[in-house]
Parts: sequence; structure tokens; C-alpha cells
Amino acid sequence: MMSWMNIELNLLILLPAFSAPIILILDRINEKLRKIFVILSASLSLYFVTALFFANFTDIKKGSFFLQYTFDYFGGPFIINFSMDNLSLFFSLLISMAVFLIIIYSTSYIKYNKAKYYALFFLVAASIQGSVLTADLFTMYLFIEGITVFTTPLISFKKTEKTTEAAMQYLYYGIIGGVFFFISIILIYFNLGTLKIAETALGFSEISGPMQLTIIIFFLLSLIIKLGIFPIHFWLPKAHSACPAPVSALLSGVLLKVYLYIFMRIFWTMISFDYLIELHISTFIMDLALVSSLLGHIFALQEDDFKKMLAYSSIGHIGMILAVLMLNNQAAFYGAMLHIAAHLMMKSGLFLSSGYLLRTAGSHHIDELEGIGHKNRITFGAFVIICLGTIGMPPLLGFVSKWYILLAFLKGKHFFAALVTVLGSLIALFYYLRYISKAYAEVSPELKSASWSADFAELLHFLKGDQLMSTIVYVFTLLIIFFGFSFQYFDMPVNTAIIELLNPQKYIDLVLGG
Amino acid sequence: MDLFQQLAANFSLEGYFPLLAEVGVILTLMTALAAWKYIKNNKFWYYMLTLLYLVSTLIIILTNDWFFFLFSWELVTLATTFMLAWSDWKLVRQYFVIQFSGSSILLFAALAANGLGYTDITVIESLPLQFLLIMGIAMKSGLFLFHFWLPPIHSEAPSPVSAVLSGWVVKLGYIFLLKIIPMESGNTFLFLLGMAMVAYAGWQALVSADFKIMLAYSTVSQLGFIAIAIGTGGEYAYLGAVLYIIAHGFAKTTLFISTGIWQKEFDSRIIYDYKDALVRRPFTSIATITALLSLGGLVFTAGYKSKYLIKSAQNPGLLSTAVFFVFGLLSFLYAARVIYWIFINEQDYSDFFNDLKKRRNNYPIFSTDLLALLIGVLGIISVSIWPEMPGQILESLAVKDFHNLSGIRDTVLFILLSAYIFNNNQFFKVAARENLSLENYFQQTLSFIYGMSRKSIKLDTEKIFETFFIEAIFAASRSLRKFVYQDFTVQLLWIPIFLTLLLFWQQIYMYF
Repeated sequence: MMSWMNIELNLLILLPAFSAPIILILDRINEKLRKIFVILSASLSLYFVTALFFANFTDIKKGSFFLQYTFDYFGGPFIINFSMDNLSLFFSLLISMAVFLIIIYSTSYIKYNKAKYYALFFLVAASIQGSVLTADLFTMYLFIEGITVFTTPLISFKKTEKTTEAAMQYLYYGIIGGVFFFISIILIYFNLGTLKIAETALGFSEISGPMQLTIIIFFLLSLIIKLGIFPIHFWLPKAHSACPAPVSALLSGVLLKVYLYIFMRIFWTMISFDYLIELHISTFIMDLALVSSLLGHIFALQEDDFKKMLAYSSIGHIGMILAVLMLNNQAAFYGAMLHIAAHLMMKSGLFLSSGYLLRTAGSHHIDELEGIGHKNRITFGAFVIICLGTIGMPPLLGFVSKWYILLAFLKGKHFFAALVTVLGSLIALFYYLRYISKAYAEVSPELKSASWSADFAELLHFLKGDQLMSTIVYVFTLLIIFFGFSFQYFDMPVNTAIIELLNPQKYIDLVLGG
Repeated sequence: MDLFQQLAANFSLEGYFPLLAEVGVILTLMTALAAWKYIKNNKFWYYMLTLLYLVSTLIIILTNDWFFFLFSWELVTLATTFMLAWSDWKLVRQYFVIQFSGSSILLFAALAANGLGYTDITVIESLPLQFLLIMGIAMKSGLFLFHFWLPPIHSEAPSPVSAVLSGWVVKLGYIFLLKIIPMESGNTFLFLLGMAMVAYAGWQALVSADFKIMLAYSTVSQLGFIAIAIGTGGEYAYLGAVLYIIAHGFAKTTLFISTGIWQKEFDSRIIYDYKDALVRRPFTSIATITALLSLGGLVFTAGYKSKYLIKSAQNPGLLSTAVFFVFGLLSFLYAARVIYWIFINEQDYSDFFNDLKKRRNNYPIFSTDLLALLIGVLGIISVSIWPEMPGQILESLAVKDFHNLSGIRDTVLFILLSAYIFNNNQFFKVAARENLSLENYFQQTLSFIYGMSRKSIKLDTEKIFETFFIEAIFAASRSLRKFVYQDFTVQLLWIPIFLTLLLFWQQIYMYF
């Protein structure tokens, strides 16, 4: 069978993983060489995923796309198994795209300790890619722990008291979440003697009832901690605001989606969602996620710190996505997947633009932001456009995803959920407007940039130094506008990914039969 | 592309909606012409926004698909919001907040309809759903109690933008209601809202000294007639609503364009300040008078024909006759009062033609302005003469008897009564409203609430919009956050609590 030999899957993980030590070595030799290597490695990662996508395009369209690779050298339970179906491909594509853009942004944002930064960043990227591609619980656990461990130093990258505190808190929560995850894995191994997701899925019904409950609860709790759902969200705003802007973008834009992917893998592919319904937990999680969503938006309303406000709004959006997933039907998945893509682009764009805008501001506090709209006219314009996207204004991608989520809620007759969605975007309008009107407050004329034509002239030097940062923000903005008009490009990938979610048996057959 | 195919597949060119779309195009052309000299800087962006607005309104009127309907409505919101930037960014902010709140309700209502099986925009039988959708457009189309934003914003906007907003944007909601409210039954709730709008806003228009504020209130009052028409139900009421939308669109667009000219000519918006208006700008005067007479429902005008259709659709009886007589009188009063103060009071027409030859005017006469006004006047006249519309689109109106005799009788009665009323009230010479703005409304609401608790607190008028949120909502959300955020150990305590909760969730669930 072909599927034994898909060695290119390993490349997706190993390339960033091996890049990290090479970056450290190259940094000793020549700084320019290191810079080239960083960009090369990032673009190669993106290239491999897109190449996979285009090479297997007909298979993907038919829904028969599947790749896997297995190391079986160790014997015993520790089989390392990677697989890629349409669901993981969808996430892998989105994540590689975002990571690539964020790395390009970092090249002009990070000014010191560069080698360390990139090494850690590539390790995180490898862990992310790994946890999306993994097909067994052992490596999944390793990669999740890897994400936690490698992001912690990135959060405390500035080495102040505040960032260290945030990083420590993040580490506490991350490790507690990891421990819960580990407990579930151990319980599964003791009961079934295997750690492969597909075999666990086959054997899960044989486990006794209380044990099933315990396994589900521990998985759930661990993922709720990782997703930052109320009431265990405390680490999230602190951690997401303490770090440098590109890391914020990675955490808020990309990492939360990875945990959502793991959530789907565990509760749809491995453990059938019917168990959650049977235990009445799905409705509870849905209500919890909705409350979390509403509270996230309300907390964002009162927040005076620019980046914390963005982080709280992430809590709001993730809660909404989790709630819509709990509906467990085609329409709901469609909305959730679209919003995952939309939120990934929008939140990354917002955090990256915050990094660019805050260079000129004294601090992140709202009072310090007076007049930044005048100083960086075009970039702030892009920021406003992305804000409009997050509150769901057409012709931006945010409108489409909000539409499908609302439609799913209302088709399921969950009026409270629909109300939370609408109210959330209304509150979002207010908290963005607070910052936008502050940014456009009247300032003395010398603070304003010279003229519009000068601003536009700067656009021409888009690949030079400082301009690179704003260029990446524009790229995200253009992506949001482009997909707002042509969201139908998402139709095929999203629908085929949903088929994977709704037919776990297909995944099991392919993994075990291959 | 798929999106455009889907858009094209859901276009419907049935009934009177293509006619309404054409009128929308003509009105946009008028405002675009009027804006040519009025808008000074960033003209390119203004016309791009106008183009976006035009395309979106056409889609709103013609599409049957919920998605494209809401999509383009939001685009209209965006386009008109940024058009307000030519006046003041504060307006932009307020207008956007209000419109976005409105469209949030509308989005909720539309998707609820979609979820309940109405996959296309068609007649909706379910009463709760009708109510929800009426609430959805209430904020956008200024239904009673939700109209509070309309006079401040429509009067502060640049004149061509006021014309766009008052002439056509607020009508989009009623055009939508024409599609969804069943023609046979109408909707009583809408009918009652319409009555309240006509009476309340009509009175407010009567006691306004500021021309633009008077026009804004008269918009609310006239929209009330449309709401009454759709609320009544029946073929003639619906045709009346269509005719009213067209007639009022032409009249109000003409009037707002001319207020822009008057404002530049006299450097004032107060109608008592307008001296020698007819001599200075004869053509603008004629356009203003024509439009005002149509607004007042003088016999033979477009306003009369549409009002008559709505009146004739009511259950015949003394009560309805009396109520509609009073409503007609109210509209006539506020229109006639403006004509009196601008063109009759203390005017000296003894040497009219010689004065005319001197051509004294402060603001130059531009051919674009004249063309815009000409189109408006021609529109009003053609609706008056051919209510069946070119090509006999509203064909049943061609043979409809409009009872012009009773119209003449009513008009004579109106003139006599208004002469009597004006004479006893010094022609309603009222002081101009000071500082009509949304901030003021918030202040009044707040003082009312504080007044109930017998505490008088003086608030900063300028910053009330911000203050309101900081004081009330921020404080609430801050205390909520304080409640949730305890110190770190307590935060960690949530995890075991939550774990226990999840483990025993089944038992807890059984308990309920």
C-alpha cells in the first residue's frame, strides 16, 4: 500500500524541528546566513503543505485523500504514527500559512536574542504541526507538552516581572492540563493496551461505564484549560498580552485552533460524540462555552490594555466556536470551520498590527494610544478593516462565518446561543470603537504624518525593513477581504473535512487497514 | 463565479420592485449631481461610496435571498456611514453604532426566519416572526420609539447625504416589509406604530424652527403613513405605500438638496432668517414650494394621490375619516408654515422683476444643482399626473378615481383651518431647538433616571456619550471582572471544583 511510505509527512514536522538547532549553529557563524535560513525554512514548510494539497487535489476533492507513516521500532505501546486526512490537511494548511507570515513579520520585529527566538519559534511550529498530524495519543501528548514548554520562554521573552509572572502562570496551567491529559491516556492504555487513536476508537465501547466517564472528563478538563474557557481562562489574557506581538499572534491566532482540532479529533474520531450526549455533558459544555463567550466580550469591554482586550476577545470567539461545535451537525461544523479560518486570520492580523502600531506608543494602555491613527494612517486603516471583520461586517470573511454560525444556532433552535453571538459582536463593536476613537483623537498637527501621498509612497517600499511588518498586516487584511468575497473557495476543503468528522469509521479503517 | 451566479439566480423582477429600483437610481443620480459642488475634498471617495451604495440598494430591493439581502444592507450601512465623515466623525461613530445595533437585530430575525423554513424572502405568515422582523428594521427605518436617532443625524449630515438618508435609505426597510407582510391581512402592530409616528413627529415638525430638523421630523411623520399603509393591508393600501415611497422620495430628496443651497445662500438653517428667497434663487424656490406642497398633500399633487390611496383602503366610517383628516391637516400645517415663513412673511414683492434682474445671490448658481432640482420637480409632477407610472406598471391606478372634488374640498378646509390656527398661534414662531444631538438625549434620559432617585447630578454634556459607557457599563463589567478574578490560588481552585462538577454532572443533571 502507498500509505506506508508517505515519508513526506515526517518532513512537515522534522523540517522545523531540525531548523531550530541549525539556526543556533548558523547564528555563531554568520547572522545573515541565519536570516536567510529562517526564511528558507519557513517557506519550505509552507511549500510542502501546499504541494501536498495540489499534488493530491483530485483525491482531496473525492474525499479519498489519506497519508500515513508509522515508526514501529520501539516495540510495545510507543508506536509513532502520523496520518493526514482532509481535516488535518485543512488545519495544516491554515497553520502553515499563518506561521509563515508570522515568521516573516518577526524578522523585522525581533531586535535582540534573535537566534533563541527563532529556535523556540520553530520548535513550537514543529510541535503544532506534529499535534495536527499525529495519529496516536502518545505523540499527541508529547507534542502538546512540547507546545507548552516551548511557548513559555517565548512568553517571557522580554524578561520583565510581568512577563515572567504571566509565563509562570501559563506554565502552571499548561502542566496541569497536560497532567489531566496524561491521566486519560494512562487510563486508556491500562484498559485497552493500545495508544493508537484508531484502535482506541474501536475498543472504547468495551471499557466499563465509570471508566469511560473518567477518561472523557479528564480529556475535557484538560482541553478546557488549554482553550481558556471560563472559569479556567485566567492564564490566557495575561499570557497572550505579555509576549511580543508575533508570539501573541501565534498563541491567539494559531494555537487555540490547534487545541480545537485536538478537541475534534478526540471527541469525534476517537471517542464518539454520542457518549457526550448520553452523559448530558454536551449541553453543559455548550452553555459553559456560551457564558464564557459572553464574559470574554464583557471583560474585553472594560479592559484598558490594548493587547489584553484582544486576548479577551479571543476568549469570546473561541467560546462561540466551541458552542457551535456542540450542536454536532453539518451546518454547525461548516460555521465553526469557517470561523476557525476567519478568526485565525483576523486575530493574527490584529495582534501583528498591534505590534506595529505600539512601536510609536509609550505603553499598551488606552490613554497612551492617542493619535496613533494619525501617525500610521494606512496600517491603522487596515486595523479598522480587520476590526470590522471581527464584528461581522460584509464584505469581509467575518460576516460569512458569523452568518453560518448564527444560521446553525437558529436552525438548532438555540435562541440563547444566537443571542450571545449577536450580542457578542455588538459588544465587540463598542470595545473596538473605544480604541479607534481614541486613536483618531485630535492631536497637534506635527504628530500627523505628512500627507496621504507620502503614506502611499511608503507602500512601494513594501519589502524593506520596517515596511515588512506593515506589509504582513496588509496581507492579512487582503486575505480577509478576498475570502469575504470568495468564501466559496473554502467550500470544498471545509466540506470534505466535515465528512471526516462525521465518519470516524472511515479514518479507523484507513489507519488500521493501511 | 458561483457567488455571482447565485446572486443572479435570486433576482426577482416582479411587481413594483423594479420600479422602486429605478426610482432609487434616479434619486441617487440627483444626490450625486447635488454633491458635485457641495462636496469639496476627497470627491473621488465620495463618488466611490455613492456607487457602492447604489449597487447595494439595488440588490436589497431586487434580491430574494436572505444572505445577499443582509450582505448588501450592511454595505449600505458602511457606505452611508462613511459618507457622514464629510460632516463630522462623531456622527460617523454614532450612526454606525445605531445601524449596527439595528442590523444585529435584523440579522437575528432574518436567520430565525431562515431557520424556521422561510428559505427565501417571501410572505411570512407567522405573527411572532413578523414582529421580530419589524423590530429588526425598526432601528434602521426609524419606526416609532426607535426614531430617536433620526432627526439629529439627518439634520447634521451634509445636505446631499441627508437627501440620501432621508430620501431612500430609510425607505429600504418599508420596501422589505412590502415583501414579507401578507397583503391580505397587514399587521396591526405596524399600523399602530404608524399612527403614533404621524402624530408625534408631525407635531415636532410643526414646532421646529430649523429647516433641516423640520424636514427630518417630517420624514418620520411621512414614514408613519407608509407604515399605516403596510399595516392596513389590501391591494390599494400597498399601491399607496409604493406611490408614497416614490412621491416622498422625490419630495424629500429635492427638499434636502435645496436646504443645502439655502444654507449656503443665507448662512443659516433657521427659516425666519430667509429673506427675499424668491428673488435670490427663483428656481430653487419653485422646487422647494413644489416639494413642500406635495409633502403637505395638496390636491392634484403626488402626495395627495398616495395619501388618498391609503385613506381609501381603511374601513369606511366616521372615525377613520376624522383621523385621516387630522393627519392630513397636520402634514399640511407643517408644510404650509414653512412656505409662509420663507416666502410670504415680511416679503416685499412690489418690485419683483427688477429685483430679479439684479441677480443678487451669495452662493453661485450651479448647473448641477439646477439639474438635480429639475429632476426632482419633474419626478413630483410626473407622479402627480401619471400615478400609474410610465409603462402602466401600477396599471390599476390608471382607472382609479382619486375623488379630486373631495380633495379640493379638503384642501380648502385645510387652508381655512390652517389660516385660523396660524392666526391664533403667531404662525408657530418658536425658538430653534438648541443642541439637538444624541448626546443631549442621553443626558435627558440620564437626568430622568437620576431624577427618579431624587439626586441631581450635573453631567458633562460634551462627553456624555463616552461618560455613559464608562460610568454605567464599564463599571458593571469591571465589578464583574473583579468578582471573577480573585488571587491566583483561588483561580487554581476552580480546576478541582470544576473537575468535581464534571464528574458528578450526571447526578446533578438528574436532579433537575
